[in-house]
Amino acid sequence: MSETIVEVKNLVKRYKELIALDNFNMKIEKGEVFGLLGPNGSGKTTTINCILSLLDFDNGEIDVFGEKMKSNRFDLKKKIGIVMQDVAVFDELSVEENIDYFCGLYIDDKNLRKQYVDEAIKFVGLEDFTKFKPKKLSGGLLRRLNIACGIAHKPELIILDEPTVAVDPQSRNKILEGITELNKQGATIIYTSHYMEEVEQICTHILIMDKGKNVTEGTADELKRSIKNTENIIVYIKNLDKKHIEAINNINHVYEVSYMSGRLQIKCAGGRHNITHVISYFADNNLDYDRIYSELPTLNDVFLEITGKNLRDKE
Amino acid sequence: MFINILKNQLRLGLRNKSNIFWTLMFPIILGTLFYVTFGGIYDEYNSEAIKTAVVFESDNETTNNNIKTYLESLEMNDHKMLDIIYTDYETALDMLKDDEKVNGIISVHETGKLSLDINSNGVLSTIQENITTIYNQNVELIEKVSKEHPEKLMDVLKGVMSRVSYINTHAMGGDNKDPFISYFYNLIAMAAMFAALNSVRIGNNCQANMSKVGARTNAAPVNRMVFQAAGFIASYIVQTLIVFVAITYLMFGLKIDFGGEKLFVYITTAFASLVGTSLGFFVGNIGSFEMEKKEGILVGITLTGCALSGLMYGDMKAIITENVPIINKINPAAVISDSYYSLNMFGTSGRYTEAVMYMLILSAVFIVLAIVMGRRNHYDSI
Repeated sequence: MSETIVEVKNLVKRYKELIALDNFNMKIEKGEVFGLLGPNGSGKTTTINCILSLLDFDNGEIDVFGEKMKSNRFDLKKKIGIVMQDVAVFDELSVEENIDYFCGLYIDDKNLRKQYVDEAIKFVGLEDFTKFKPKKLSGGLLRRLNIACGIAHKPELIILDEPTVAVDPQSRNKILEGITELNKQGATIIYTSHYMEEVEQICTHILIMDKGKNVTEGTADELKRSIKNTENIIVYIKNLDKKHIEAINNINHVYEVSYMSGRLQIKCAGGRHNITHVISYFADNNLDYDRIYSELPTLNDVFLEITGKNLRDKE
Repeated sequence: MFINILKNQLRLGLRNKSNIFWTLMFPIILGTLFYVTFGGIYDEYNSEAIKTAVVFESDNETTNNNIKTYLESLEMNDHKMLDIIYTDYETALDMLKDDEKVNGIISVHETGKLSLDINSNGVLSTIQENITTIYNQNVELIEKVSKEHPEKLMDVLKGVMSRVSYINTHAMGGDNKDPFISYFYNLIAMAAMFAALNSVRIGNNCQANMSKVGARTNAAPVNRMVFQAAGFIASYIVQTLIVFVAITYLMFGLKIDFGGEKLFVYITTAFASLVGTSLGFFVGNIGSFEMEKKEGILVGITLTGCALSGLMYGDMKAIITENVPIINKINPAAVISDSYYSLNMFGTSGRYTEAVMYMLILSAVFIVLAIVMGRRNHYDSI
């Protein structure tokens, strides 16, 4: 039987007139890498801050490790590691000292702490930078330090709030490998990110939230199956007449066609072999194209279909 | 856990270069400038008696003789305070116009009171003014008590005699008769108050809605009071060490004599540092606005406080005492400089104890306010 690590029930959080969390529900089981997705301002960070008991909320309940979470539940906090969206370290302390300081807030035993700090340094690959001050580190190394400070005490629940923002592909890969490794070691992970391919790569369960609500959740495959779009066909073709675009839109299962800068995108609902119908149309009408291919919908398609394409920061 | 936090907070304080500059280099540089600037003036006035014309406008020989005895008995640094020329008023005026001959004219009136004529303000004129003012105050006091409470006259006379004695030994600064020493008191007050620039970070680093580190700290299984206490102690230790270095340089490097026993100068400095640390602790907890604004507030409080206690203009504190005395009781710089002044003038007597108590009360108020404001556990927004 699975063990629930975090359960959020009917959580409501208001910032004056704005409802940041609107009866939000979420359940995270032990051993999951739980992806929490949503557009900017959807309430992801607010949810995390409420789970950590940093923020007051107006209504609802939060259980962590099966018990009510409160700001003075140090026994529960001890089992949680947090990697903030912003790098939160002391500029005056070296890499090693920063990790030791934050680990020291959880681990009293000096020898054990030393061992954990060394392991954390090795885990994020900062062995060559232990004496460096944060200002001397690159963006990627800084992010890795930020992660090391959050996980050095070997927490059972690790919350990572957009840990790969503004890092190069190498560092990102290192971070993602590390998260997978932590999960293998037994940690339950809550992971927020705007990078859909990352979420698809590492998360075992994904929740999409928007406007403070739980819109949908499931595995990546379940989410992909839940949307209208089943196949995307891309055709690179020059000077395509409007009449052909309209005709393609009328092909069976096609529900949306867009053409821009010589790139034709055809979205299909129902079945995964619609490309044959499209190829036939081009052949029947003697239309020459440069390249044609078909792809399955990605998590990004799921996200955009569910949350819409409007820019959220402008709202 | 507390020790680990304390150890790292000490590291943070000792590696905060801008804070170390302001609190250590600033008093050292400014102290050296004060020393160079005031040194020449002080040596000049300290080396010889002040040329003073005394004019008797009264025919009362008893009064005249008493005043003559009083003025001639005044001493400073083992030499006469005044070099007196007895003459008539017209001649005295001619001599006053020529600064080389006299620095001021003390006239003795029929009423038994003294008046002073000077042609320019300066240290020597201030000394002459103090002499006449204190004498006149004594005369008024005796007259008033003779009329209203004659039975207390003997007690008052004893007090007046000790005051005359006080003029002799302490008029220009007790152990240290340097009239410019108050500038150094205020300089140390400023250095001690700059402690606030270090301790202001304590609140910031503990509150989730004030800094990124604060948010991480609040997520940890440690009571915020532990952070606050460790941060405060670390900040206080660092700051006291820094101000100790500064005052050691002033006392032993520049040979500035703060008066009183040196041990008590250091003890006073430790209390002064407590005031500064508490002030920063308080400001750091007052709201969730940016650190830069809090530092700006502290620099403003420090500079204004020091200006009002006489860092820029020596007589400012006296002006405040005369017009708005309450300011000197709540202005941390004034409270700190008054402690050094009391130590110098009165030693470790009741006056000094009272001044130290003021520092402790002020510190306690700041600390209590900081704790009250900083103890919230939840935030409406981060």
